[in-house]
Amino acid sequence: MIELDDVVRRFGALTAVDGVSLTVSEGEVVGLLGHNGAGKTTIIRLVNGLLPPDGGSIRTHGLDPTRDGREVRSRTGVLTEYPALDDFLTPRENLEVYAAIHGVPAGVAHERAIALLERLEVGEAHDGPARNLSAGLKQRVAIARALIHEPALLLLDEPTNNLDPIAAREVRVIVRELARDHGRTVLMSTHNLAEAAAMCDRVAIVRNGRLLAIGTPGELGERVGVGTVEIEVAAGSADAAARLVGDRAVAESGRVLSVAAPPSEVPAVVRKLVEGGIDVHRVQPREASLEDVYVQLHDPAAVAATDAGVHAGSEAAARSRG
Amino acid sequence: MNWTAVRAIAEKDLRTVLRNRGVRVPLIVAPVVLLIVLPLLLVLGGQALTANSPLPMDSMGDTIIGRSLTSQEAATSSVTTPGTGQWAAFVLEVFFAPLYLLVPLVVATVIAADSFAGERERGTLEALLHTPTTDQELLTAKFLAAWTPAVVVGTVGFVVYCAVANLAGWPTIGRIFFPNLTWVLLGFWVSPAVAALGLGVMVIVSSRVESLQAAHQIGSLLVLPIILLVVAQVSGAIRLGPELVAGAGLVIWLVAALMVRYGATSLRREHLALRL
Repeated sequence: MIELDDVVRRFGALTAVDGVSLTVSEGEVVGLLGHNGAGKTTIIRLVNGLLPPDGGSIRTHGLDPTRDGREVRSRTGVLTEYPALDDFLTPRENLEVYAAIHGVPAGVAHERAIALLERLEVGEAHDGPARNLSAGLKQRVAIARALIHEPALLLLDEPTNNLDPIAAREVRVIVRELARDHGRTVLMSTHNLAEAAAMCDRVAIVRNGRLLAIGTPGELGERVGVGTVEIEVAAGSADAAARLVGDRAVAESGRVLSVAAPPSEVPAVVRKLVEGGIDVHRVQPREASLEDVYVQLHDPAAVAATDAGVHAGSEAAARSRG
Repeated sequence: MNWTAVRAIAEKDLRTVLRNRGVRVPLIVAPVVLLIVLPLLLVLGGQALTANSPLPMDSMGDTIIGRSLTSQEAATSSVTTPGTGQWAAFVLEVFFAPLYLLVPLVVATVIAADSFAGERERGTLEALLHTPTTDQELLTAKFLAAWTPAVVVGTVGFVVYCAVANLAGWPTIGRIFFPNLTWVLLGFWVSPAVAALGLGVMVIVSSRVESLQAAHQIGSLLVLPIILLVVAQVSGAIRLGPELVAGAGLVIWLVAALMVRYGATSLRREHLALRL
């Protein structure tokens, strides 16, 4: 559905996208996770043919978005970073205008607009000017606008920006449903770790235009290997236990020890403690969260290594780093 | 060309303009002041000012409001008998000819600024660029959204001005004298061209400025040539006759076409996307 191969995009001296390779399969939800300015929005613009790449190749729906932009864009629905509705039009009119642009007959567009707005709980605001809506409602209308022509591919730039927790959860449910029940493919950008973990089949971590890692949230945790194990030992023996395990262990208190180790290494750690005469009362492995991965990939040492050209930035390279 | 998409975008822009008070007010005020209030004030006000003159109007010959019409001025008027009627005809036919052109110009520039720079400032342009419209369709839609109302307002303004001129001139001229050939050419040949020229300039300006306010400020400079035309006309430096108006219209159309063509190059999707 989407294939990026060693894509580069520069703006003057700034390389906004630097050798990114990435595939998104049909029905998959892939998240681009990164700070503001990491290159996420530029990738979305490249995928939809708003900008041509300076290097590499892009295929969207099997087409070249630079050459076949019209065809590509007719099959994509885009939620821009800000809702950017036409404020003097009603929400329904906003949707109907974009339906007309996409060639949806007026009668069908009207019915779809009403149904989408009801589903997204825009409520009685259907027929008032969009400028009177709250930020959250505007975001919902913008999502409905992206869906009005029933696109096969959704490009969502920060889809839960400005939404209250309940509205954000509703959007996540809708996006998951669109992928699961309707076979829609979704490429979304976010800087929200919890959102990426909750919504995405796979997450691509992007920094300074480079793809640092890609995989399911679980895979990423394992590859980076920053899982921890919390071990409760006999009172007063945590320090001794920490010395026994080595540099990876930290005594959190007199009886709790934290060990940096993936779940697969837990039995070996416990065996070592028991053989060393430590009474182990409780073991709680914790898989590395997306947050752990993200933080590790953004720590100063990793940034320096990346900037020195240690990694290639491609999906394959990102996988192999695990 | 996907005319459904063109129509949808143009209608969207027009609705935005019509519902936006900040844009709608100048579109109403400028024609009303230029084509109704000012002509009535100058002609009827002038008559009121001279009504208490110790000399009867007829004995003043062609001396009205403190000065005489030059022979050249008198020659431009369709009323050749000296007196107040000749002054009214001069004011309504000659003095207001360049001022009338401000109407399509103001309408076109105000809407075009909102349509191009305003859309970018409001952030709505990016969503539009992500649709399957081509660059040509986008330009056509934006052009129609600004040019069509400018021509409609210009034409309606022309018809209203015809009524106002004949009404204001009736007490002194005593017959329907308006419009003459020069004004017909202004209304249906030059006015649409001026609207297109204003639009072409605003397309270029809007692609180079950062805000709607800056676009409006630069766009307002477009009235200067018309002010100069008023001065030249009133001072007798030029005389707007049918031949000159027809020729000027042709030149304005050509320049407008060049401007729009040049401006279109700045409306390429990639160029616009770089400035989002």
